[in-house]
Amino acid sequence: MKYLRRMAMALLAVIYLAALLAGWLAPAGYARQFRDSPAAKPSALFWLGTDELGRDSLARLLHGSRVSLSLAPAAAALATVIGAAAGISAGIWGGWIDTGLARVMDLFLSVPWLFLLLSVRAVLPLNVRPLESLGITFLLLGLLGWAGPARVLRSAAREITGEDFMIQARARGCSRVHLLTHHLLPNLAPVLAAQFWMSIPIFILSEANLGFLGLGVSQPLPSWGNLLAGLQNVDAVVSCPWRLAPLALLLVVMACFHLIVPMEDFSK
Amino acid sequence: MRARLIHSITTVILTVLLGGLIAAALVRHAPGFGVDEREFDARYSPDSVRRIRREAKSSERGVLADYWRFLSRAVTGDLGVSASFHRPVAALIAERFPATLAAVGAGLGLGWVLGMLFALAAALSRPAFDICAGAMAAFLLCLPSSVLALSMGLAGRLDGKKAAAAVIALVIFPRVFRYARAILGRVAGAPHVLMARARGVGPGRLVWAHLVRPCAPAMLALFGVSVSVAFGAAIPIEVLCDSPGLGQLAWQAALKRDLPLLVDITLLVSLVAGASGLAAEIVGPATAPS
Repeated sequence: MKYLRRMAMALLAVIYLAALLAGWLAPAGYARQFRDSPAAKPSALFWLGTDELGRDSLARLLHGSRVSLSLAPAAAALATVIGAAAGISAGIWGGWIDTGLARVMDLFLSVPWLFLLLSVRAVLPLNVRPLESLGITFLLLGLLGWAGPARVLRSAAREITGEDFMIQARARGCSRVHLLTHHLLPNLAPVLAAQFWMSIPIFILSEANLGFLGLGVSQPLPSWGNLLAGLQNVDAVVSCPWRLAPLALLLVVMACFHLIVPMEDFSK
Repeated sequence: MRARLIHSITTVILTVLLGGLIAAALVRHAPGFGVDEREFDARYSPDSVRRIRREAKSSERGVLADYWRFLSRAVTGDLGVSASFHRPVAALIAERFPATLAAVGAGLGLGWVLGMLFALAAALSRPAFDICAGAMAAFLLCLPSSVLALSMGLAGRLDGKKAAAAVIALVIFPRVFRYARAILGRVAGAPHVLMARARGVGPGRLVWAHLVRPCAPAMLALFGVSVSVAFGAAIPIEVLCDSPGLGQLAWQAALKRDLPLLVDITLLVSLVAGASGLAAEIVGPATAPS
């Protein structure tokens, strides 16, 4: 298992490095159109060919990877922070705060994830600039995806607050802030890390689904969602199999899943 | 038991009602809500546009009043009229719901049967099968449902509804497999199973009475979640497999910003998912071996 995790980490590092060096590896840029060579085959100039609009596919893939690999962790961090705040508050204070927060968590978890995303995304303006669509998509993921981590953290916090060392610390007169920063958070760190790592592939897949449905990041900005949407042109994919390159997403998601505990429940 | 049941039912109903209220507030404050198309018509003078806005403002009610009106109408089966389809929402949902229900039902059934069979085989057979099945489940888990639907489209052998059911099964299978494999693995090594094996209990009885039944309550807890996952996956799947169900309708409503229709569908789906979770919660303890 350790070997697999190291492999996953190395793979993620390579893909992330390639995404960061997108400007150097594919200097053409993701939006520049080479109008004399639309839908070109792979060549020395275009390693993965071009799309129907004559844009360099490698540049789009690398820039799309950069977008997804940078913003999915940011959204996961946001969701984990909100989840931690809600879950730990509910776990520590108990009573009506716990009941109220648990109901809100239930509310978020009772709506199927993609329906929730679709409904809230549709409430916001659809005809926005690419950069705004990028912000909206990942901010939504971060703001709506907190309930799962919150539930896990709530039960972990409740468990830890009942431990002997916490009771002793309380009996010695430690303040709530001290209890939180010196006793609870260090013990919750592995759970927080697991929730963070688990949210990343879920958000990457969610963005891919939203992009596929035309509600994610808008063109010409590339993301894995709108790159995968290009696969809908079945005839082109069958005749030009190199267009399946955006399925590199699979490798990233698999690597992310291998970095977390193998038997976690990926319920979204 | 009865008190717990009443508490669970009340929780589901209150959750849906609260969700509806939040959705109503979201719709109400969405950019462009209540804007009359005539405001963009160049033939209207600025005075006329101002009058239209004044009229619209005077007919506005609060979110709570609107929501109450919606609920009292919903009780009689009137969910309003879709702005994009120009048809009653109830009729649209009644038309599309059976297709989704059939696809989700078939997909769930197939996914669960495959997941349980593979998990049982993996728990009882050689490690090589376990590794292969685990790798296959991990592979499926890492693909977005839209890509799975697309691959079914590439295979191109099934019609829309059957393809949707098959893809939902592929979405459900890895989740059931991984969860069941973890639980069955623990139970398979338990002393009562070893004892049963040593006593020469037949394989059928061993699997049913000593493996599956002790796991049933924990597995049923996953059922509610899997219904929610299946309905969520139905959106891209129905869009890509061209299956005329609720998922496709929700997508069309989202693209046309027909928010009341989208919210109605979301609430209905949440209610179904909540009800299935509740059913699993009720049936779960009854399946536990005495």
